[in-house]
Amino acid sequence: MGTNKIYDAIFSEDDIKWQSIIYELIRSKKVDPWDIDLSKFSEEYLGTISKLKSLNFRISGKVVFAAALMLKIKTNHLGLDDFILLTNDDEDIPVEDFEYDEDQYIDPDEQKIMNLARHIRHNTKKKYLIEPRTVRPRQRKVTVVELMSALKKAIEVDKRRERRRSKIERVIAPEEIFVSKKDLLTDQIKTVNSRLLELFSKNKAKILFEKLLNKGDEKDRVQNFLPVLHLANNGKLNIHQEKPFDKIYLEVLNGRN
Amino acid sequence: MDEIKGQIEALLHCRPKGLTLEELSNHSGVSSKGLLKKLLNEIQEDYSKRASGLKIINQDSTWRMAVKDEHIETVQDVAQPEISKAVLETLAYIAHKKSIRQADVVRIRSNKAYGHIKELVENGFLESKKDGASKKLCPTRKFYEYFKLTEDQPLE
Repeated sequence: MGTNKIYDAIFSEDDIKWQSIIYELIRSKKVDPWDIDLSKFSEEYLGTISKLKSLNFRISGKVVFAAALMLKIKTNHLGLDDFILLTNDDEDIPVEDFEYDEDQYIDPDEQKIMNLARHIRHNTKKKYLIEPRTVRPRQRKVTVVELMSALKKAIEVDKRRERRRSKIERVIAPEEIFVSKKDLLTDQIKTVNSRLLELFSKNKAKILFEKLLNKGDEKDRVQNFLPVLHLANNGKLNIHQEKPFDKIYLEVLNGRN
Repeated sequence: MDEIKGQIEALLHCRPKGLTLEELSNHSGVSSKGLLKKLLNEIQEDYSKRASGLKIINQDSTWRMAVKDEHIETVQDVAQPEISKAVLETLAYIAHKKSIRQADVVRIRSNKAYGHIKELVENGFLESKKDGASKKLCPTRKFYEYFKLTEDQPLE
């Protein structure tokens, strides 16, 4: 019930009254600050925003301020007494750390917030209400032995990767499958050309591609077929195949050297 | 003065990564940096004189509390090392090579090495110089001082 009043105060009341309502509710024990669900603030806020026809940053500001206020209350483990102080202007609180511009108008509600902040600081300093958090685990210096051990591991990784890399390179090395280097290809063309000359010299105008092969494996086929393609491209011979994957015939062209 | 010394000690204890004079001044309320430095030096001397397991060090303008070198072995399993295992491996590899291109380090140590290198450069263990499209990395003086090594000493 009381909590709902807080939400209503934030979203409906004017700027001066809403903070007073919150303090009054807490002071009169109608609301326990520990029971205020901050996530409900965001839900209420989104609900209000969705109903608005135009932007109203005043509501956003109020929500953020109210949420911060509640969070501060909870995290600083303040009890009800601290809120009673807010409404008690006669409370004797040291002001040594605070300097105000006397000419500047201070909103009474703002004054209350400042009183609260001052009270928190004063009490915290005096009574150490907030215990220091547990110290983060300390770190130590790294020894040279650890450095050496790390180096050993890094070198192992380096070697392992190098082995893996060379293995991959060996598998896909282009020169091992394809005669990609220009010089090697020229040599291959010359070799295949002389082989063809030899075969065609036996009064054959048409020969099977297989006749050119030595081992007949994939590598051998590619190494011989590539020069054949070059020779055909240069107009030295014709390549003929009845249908895909069928036997390949090489035909001598008139006027070839 | 003893109270301020106590405050400084407490602050150093609570912040393992250390505090600058500015931060110490803000937290202790002592505005005089000269006084703070004088007190820090006194605390440092106190720690070195007595048989404490701790020391106060001033590194890169940051004052912090650290375990004395002779006790590092004792706390080896209790305290976390300042440099994580993976980052240390990357550092060791670069130090072993003396000078190496960042691209080569990443090729060997994977993409994670970018993060390791950034951390090591930020902490002053590595120097990074522009080298074409990549960067040239080499260990700094801090690295050699930290591990008590000499630059001509091969790391292997």
